[in-house]
Amino acid sequence: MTENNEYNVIGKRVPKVDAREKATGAAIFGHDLRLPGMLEGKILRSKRAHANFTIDISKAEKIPGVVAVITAETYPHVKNLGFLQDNPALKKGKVCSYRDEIAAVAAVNPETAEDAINAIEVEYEDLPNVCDIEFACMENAPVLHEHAPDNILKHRYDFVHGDPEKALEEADFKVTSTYRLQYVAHCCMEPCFAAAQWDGPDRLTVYSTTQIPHLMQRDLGRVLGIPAAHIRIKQMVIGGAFGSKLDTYPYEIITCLLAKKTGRPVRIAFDREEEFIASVTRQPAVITVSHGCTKDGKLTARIFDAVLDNGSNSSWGATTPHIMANPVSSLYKVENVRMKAKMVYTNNAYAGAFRGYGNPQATFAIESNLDELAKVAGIDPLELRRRNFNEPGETTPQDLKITTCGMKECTEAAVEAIDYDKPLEEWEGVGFANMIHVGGGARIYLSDGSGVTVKVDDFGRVVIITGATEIGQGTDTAMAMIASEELGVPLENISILNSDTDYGMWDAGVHASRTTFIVGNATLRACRMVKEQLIEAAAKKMKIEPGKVVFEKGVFYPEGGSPEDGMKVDKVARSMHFRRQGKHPMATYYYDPPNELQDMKTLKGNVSSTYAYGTHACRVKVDPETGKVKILKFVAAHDVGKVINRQGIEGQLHGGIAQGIGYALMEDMVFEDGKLLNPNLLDYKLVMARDMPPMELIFIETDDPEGPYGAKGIGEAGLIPTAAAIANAVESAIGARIRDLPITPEKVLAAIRGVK
Amino acid sequence: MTAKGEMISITVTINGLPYTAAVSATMNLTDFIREVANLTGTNVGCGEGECGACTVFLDGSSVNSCIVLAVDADGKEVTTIEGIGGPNGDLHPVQQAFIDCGAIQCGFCTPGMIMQAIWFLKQNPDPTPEEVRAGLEGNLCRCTGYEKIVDAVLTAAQQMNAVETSVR
Amino acid sequence: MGLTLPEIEIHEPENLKEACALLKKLGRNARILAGGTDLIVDLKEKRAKVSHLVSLAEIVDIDRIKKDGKALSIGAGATANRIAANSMVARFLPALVDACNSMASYHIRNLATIGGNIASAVPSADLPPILIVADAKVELQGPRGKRKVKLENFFKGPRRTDMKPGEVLTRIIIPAQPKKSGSSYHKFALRNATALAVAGVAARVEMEKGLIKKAAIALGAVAPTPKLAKRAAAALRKKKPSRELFEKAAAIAVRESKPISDIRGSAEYRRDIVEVLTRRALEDAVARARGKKRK
Repeated sequence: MTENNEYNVIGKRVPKVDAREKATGAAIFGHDLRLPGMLEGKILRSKRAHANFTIDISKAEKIPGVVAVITAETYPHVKNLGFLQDNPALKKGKVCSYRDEIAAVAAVNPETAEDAINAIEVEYEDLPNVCDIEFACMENAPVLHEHAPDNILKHRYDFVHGDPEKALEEADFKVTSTYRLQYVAHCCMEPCFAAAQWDGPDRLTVYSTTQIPHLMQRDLGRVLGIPAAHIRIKQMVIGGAFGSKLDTYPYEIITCLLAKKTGRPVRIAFDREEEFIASVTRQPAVITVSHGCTKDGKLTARIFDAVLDNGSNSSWGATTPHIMANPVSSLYKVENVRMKAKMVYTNNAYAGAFRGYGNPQATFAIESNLDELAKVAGIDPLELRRRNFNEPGETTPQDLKITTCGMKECTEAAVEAIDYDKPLEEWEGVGFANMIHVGGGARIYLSDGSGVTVKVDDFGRVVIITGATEIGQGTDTAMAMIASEELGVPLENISILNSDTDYGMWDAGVHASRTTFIVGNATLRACRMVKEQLIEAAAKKMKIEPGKVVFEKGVFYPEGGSPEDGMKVDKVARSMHFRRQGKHPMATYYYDPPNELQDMKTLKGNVSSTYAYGTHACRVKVDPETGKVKILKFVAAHDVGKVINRQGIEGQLHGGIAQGIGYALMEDMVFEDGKLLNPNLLDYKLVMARDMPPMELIFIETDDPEGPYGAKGIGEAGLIPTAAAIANAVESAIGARIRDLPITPEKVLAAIRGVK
Repeated sequence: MTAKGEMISITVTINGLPYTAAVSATMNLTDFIREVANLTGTNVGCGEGECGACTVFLDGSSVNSCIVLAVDADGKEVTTIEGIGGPNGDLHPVQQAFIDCGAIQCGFCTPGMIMQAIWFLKQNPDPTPEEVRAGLEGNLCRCTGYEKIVDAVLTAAQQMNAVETSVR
Repeated sequence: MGLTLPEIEIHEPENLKEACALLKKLGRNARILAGGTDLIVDLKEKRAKVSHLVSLAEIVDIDRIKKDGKALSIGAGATANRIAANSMVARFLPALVDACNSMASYHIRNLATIGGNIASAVPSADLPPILIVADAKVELQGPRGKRKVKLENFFKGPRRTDMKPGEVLTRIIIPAQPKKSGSSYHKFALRNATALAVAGVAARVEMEKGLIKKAAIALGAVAPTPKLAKRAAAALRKKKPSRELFEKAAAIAVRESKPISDIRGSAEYRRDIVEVLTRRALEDAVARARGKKRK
């Protein structure tokens, strides 16, 4: 891990630009917001998984201090949410899950709001629960929604390339297994928050922790039936998101409606239990995978069949197969591939986007299954991978165009660092897994763009105005570093202005590991435009041709001259506008990457302008008496294109690995008849400091032609192959395969006994 | 706060300043800090003592302020994240180390984590990495994987010890 | 505004007598507030439905740790961290230090008291098993005076104890541990910190001439109450310590456990864990009795 000398700032370790306000407690998170006259909003949720209901709010309305009580009847014209628009913010007459919103109150304080919630009278008439995807798919199963009489979403995925069934039949070795992926929670340390304030009947300001400010503006306009041009979204400092805030949710609409009804600002802040029950989850899945290969270990067939529990309504979880298709079609070279996915309505929780967006689930199934194939074929798992590596220049079955590809380098570096060939002690295991993920944006909407404005003031202060969202991942710092590199201005003179749809330009949102790539490119190009302006101005001042101006470390000087006689950025900036008919040094660049919207039927198209690769490898020791898995060492080697902020990228990978370890070994939302049994941080187990193994990170810099300075997006990569690597290592230790996550001590012990 | 029970007048000294208010018997210390003293650096992550985001010092001991009743802090001294730096915006060495080492991402757990780290280093000024991990065992972080947090605590320990040595 | 608690009145009696009188008067409407780490969460989750809290905060000396003749007396208000840091405790019963350190998290141990850990009578509590094998008694102060109860007889069911209305648990008395004896506490949880026990096993052995003279084994989280595994202990008497012997005792302990299936583990898995922990706890206790190992 050598420091990069090619650049002044890029590649160095730079503390986050927002670190100080966060270290001093000055950062204003949602629950720190104080608006004059603000009321407390609270939501009444269903006490049944599936039931018809009637409601009486009259007692609640009479409680002193209660300002408004609303139900679906209050604002009947409000439209549904969700990408299938199947989710009303307030449910009318029927609930389909414990999270379903049936009424809401606004009151002068939380205690009164709670009292009012308790005073609302609801009579339920139970309907049969449908909490199991197999049951939901049976003929005559109770129907959740009229628009889906078979409980299956109309929207399906079917991708095929070649003739996978024939190829599998003809394969020398083949294996088929089914893998089960559990519900897990994002567990942002900050629970969900929204506040809303109206100015007249159709002008709305929302204070939000959203990851999609501009899409939220659109969603709110459509759902509330007011012009989106009258809506302003102001984002708070966001205490973690990881994809959970990528959609617009019922509680946000309800906040707006309560504020409208009361004519006062209203906030809704979840507590931890509500966060567990009523925010989105990672998409659970049952995945059956088959692989076939030749005698030499050349992969010839992959068939991937996923059934997803869609829960009661649709958020982005239902679209995760779109991204599952990337590893299914393109992780290693496989000539014949099929992916099918169907989504089934149940009375369980519904899933949203969560770091990796379906890819960790798919990669767990694929990479576990490849180890199983290796065993059947009698080929070392590493050797099997080596014979099928992706390569630069390849076009994959899904028409992904691989420009740079560090798969081979990542794998070799990771297995070397984990000492793959070292003999194993008893109950010790070693395993690894690979990944591919979008690394150059992802065109999920028509636009994958983002706009950035850079201005330089008289004093050399650079302000970057952006619509991009900082959720802790460090984009603001990356933008500041890029500006510092390009304009030679020290980091402390750079500020980032974001979090407001009124001045931030359109951004498609924080998803798909896109922000540093997309916004980085926009920042880079805007800075270069400003630099041109400054060079031109400096040339005028020096009375030379612009081509003869040298710009180095923030100083302009004539070619052949010395920096000591040069002009600094602030002076050049002043020379531009402290004059008649002056100009202000500033520029706007809107960057939209060269990638394609995939055809929704065939799922083909180059969705990202580059792809990130990575390998996770680990060594584990299993306690054969308790089944407890201890990770002795964890190695992550990633093709990151180019490191922008070494400190930031390390943090992203460390954090991803921690979430991946939790996914693999501990985290599990346990539902019984649709009811979550562990809605707390005691029994929903996140990894803590003592659970983390020693980690080694390896960066493979493949210098991507489209990335800013060659960088690829890396925000999600850190957890994509983690669970698969751990499962493969556990199999190596105990000689039995665990196909259901999480790999709990209890399952491990049962598996050990099964082998005996 | 308009709780219906009897209100109790209490005085809690927070960061050296006395705050007196009539509170309900069930108000927790976090709410007193956030709503009465209007110090919003102390965050609420769970309200049940499981996440550590609300860690403060109560008479010098680190506690989850969400599971301490405000009335139990009557007459006591509380220190919050806002009370650990020096004058003129000077930072505590642990704060500085968290910034320098990249121990902060979303920042929501950070105030509690820093408070616990400071308290831990008072008990154990020269810890091993394993001891640091044990010392932070009640503080959840969802972003960092704890690696840089542990680095930061070790770095802060070194710096604080170096300062102490030079003073001698 | 993180906490919405039901309407409650709080009382801060200045001495035990006043506390007992109040508790007697309020009966089932009151709970004792000590560290509050369980109680405040119980109230918030509405598991505890009371309208009065009787705080012990003003009562002098209720947190005192002191010698009492040859015994050790630990005030009910002593926090887990103070007990773990106390050198008398470390000499007297080092396994109690281990048990204290295995509880919850650092911050919670700054608040959580030994009295609360016992009186809450949560089946998975970490301190009762080791105190039971150490023959500890609890002292209860009531309106009419004091009484002492052997801890093994104190628990009556999940969250139910022998305490009568008006009684306060004031201290825990641990008798002097016999010479050549050793104790240990082994806990298994699904995370390395801040986790409730799937199972916990405490063991004490007293050695004589290379044989086990006496033994005690207590199981936590695998029955409605912390429970002595008496038959398992009896199987060890006058035997030479060996892995086989401990395995035999462990198998008996499993039969004495009555675990349930819950979110932390199935009954079957808990039995497996009891077996492993019992053997490991016995190995450790013997090692300590021989002065070979101090954790």
